[in-house]
Amino acid sequence: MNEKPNLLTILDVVAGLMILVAAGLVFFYVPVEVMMGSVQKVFYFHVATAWVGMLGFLVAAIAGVVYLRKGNLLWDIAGNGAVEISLIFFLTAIVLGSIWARPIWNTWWTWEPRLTTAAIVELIYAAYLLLRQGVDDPERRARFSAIYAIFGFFSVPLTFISIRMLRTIHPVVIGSAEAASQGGFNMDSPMKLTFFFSLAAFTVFFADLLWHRIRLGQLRAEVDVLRIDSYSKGE
Amino acid sequence: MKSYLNAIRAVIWKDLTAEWRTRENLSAMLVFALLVILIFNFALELDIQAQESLSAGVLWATFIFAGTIGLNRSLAVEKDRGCLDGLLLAPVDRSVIYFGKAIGNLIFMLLVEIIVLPVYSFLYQVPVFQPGFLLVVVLGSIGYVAVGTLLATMVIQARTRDILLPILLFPLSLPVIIAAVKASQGFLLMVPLTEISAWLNLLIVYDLIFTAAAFMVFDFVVEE
Amino acid sequence: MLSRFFVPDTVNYMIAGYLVFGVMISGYVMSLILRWRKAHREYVYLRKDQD
Repeated sequence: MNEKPNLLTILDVVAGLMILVAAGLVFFYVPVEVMMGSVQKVFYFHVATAWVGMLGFLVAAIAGVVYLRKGNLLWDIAGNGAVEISLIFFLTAIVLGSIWARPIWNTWWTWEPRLTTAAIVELIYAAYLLLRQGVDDPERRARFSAIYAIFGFFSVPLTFISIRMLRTIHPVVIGSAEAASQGGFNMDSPMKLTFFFSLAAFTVFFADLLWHRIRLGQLRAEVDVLRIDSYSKGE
Repeated sequence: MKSYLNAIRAVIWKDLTAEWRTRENLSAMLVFALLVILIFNFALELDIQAQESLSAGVLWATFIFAGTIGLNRSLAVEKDRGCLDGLLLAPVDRSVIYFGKAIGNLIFMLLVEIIVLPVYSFLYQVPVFQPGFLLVVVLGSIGYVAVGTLLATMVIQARTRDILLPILLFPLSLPVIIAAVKASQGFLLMVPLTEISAWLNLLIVYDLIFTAAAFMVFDFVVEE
Repeated sequence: MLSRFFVPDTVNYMIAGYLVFGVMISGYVMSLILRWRKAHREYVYLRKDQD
């Protein structure tokens, strides 16, 4: 069962190519935005990585619900993998946003709703990993982390709303004159193409990574079983 | 339905009488809360002028830290004395245990708040005794305890149980904390009610969603 | 167009952004590969032990 499936190899190639094409579009095809200059090009991968981050947390919550209903540990491995990948992508999105914000907002960081929520989301899912580390029994760990993934997913929108009620300067991209003054802009069609292609490319990339991560989780579970077997034989 | 409520009452009563014999949990929470206020006093140089805008934040930070201690202790005791297993053997719905423990914890937290508030108001001349402010205190505590009781039940079964509860609970309860701080600040600064009502709504929504969610998943937390 | 003269020069930030992206994501992919190898080695070892 450790043989790599052909479909996964195909997915690897497709995901890699799509990311390369997306990068190609960003660097050589899409025009430079006149108000902000080249740094605006960070936007395409910033949104795409943030999208993967949210997608992963959604997948983790769904995997949590399914695990609680079915009790198959495969869903636990999937949820854990989704959270791990999302943490990395979301952190990347935050750093990219910060790099974009430096020339545009003239600051690396501001306590703006989306940024603040993003930081809190990172903390919630870091706590998720700490919870997993603290529980040894696999069934119990799976149950607890499923519940925590579901609760985390519920609380994020409420956190966002509550911080938003305090105030916002994040650009609402497709939109109004007010948005333009904060670093928003209207996308013309090459921009839209690049934007949506990046989203698609990253979605495929996420699926690919998640598959690999699930296989790793399964292999580790097998190793754990074997290890217990060999200990009990040794005694 | 009647027997369900009676069972919940029995769990609460058990907690209250056990606490009444030793009073160790309440006194620990209380002393801790007063210490936190003392630390804030020096860390933020709270004087009569500065506290106007800071009071709400200081009070909620105090309640939350004290609440964490109480939550951890209340469930750790059940686990260590084997009472949790006894409760689980009782021929009642599991959610009875959740509601019993949650309401018990809520009572402890409110008791601490009832003592801390007059002390704070005495020290800094803050007008905390208004119905609106007290409503915020109750609503905020409900949300915090609803999630906290569920998480504490998980945490006491973990290997790293001494450190895990605040790490899990604080990020999840941020909406409650923000809304409670803003709403109580509004009442302290005599802001018109129309500007506060959004925060009150948020508190109520959080309380409802998370109490319902905790009720639904509690079975999985105590499953053996 | 007059505005073409006012396009701010922010190329360095763009390069920094994509560098950070590359380093973080390839770092994660590397960690996946390394963890897989480690687990696989252990798996093969324990399997031999069993037979």
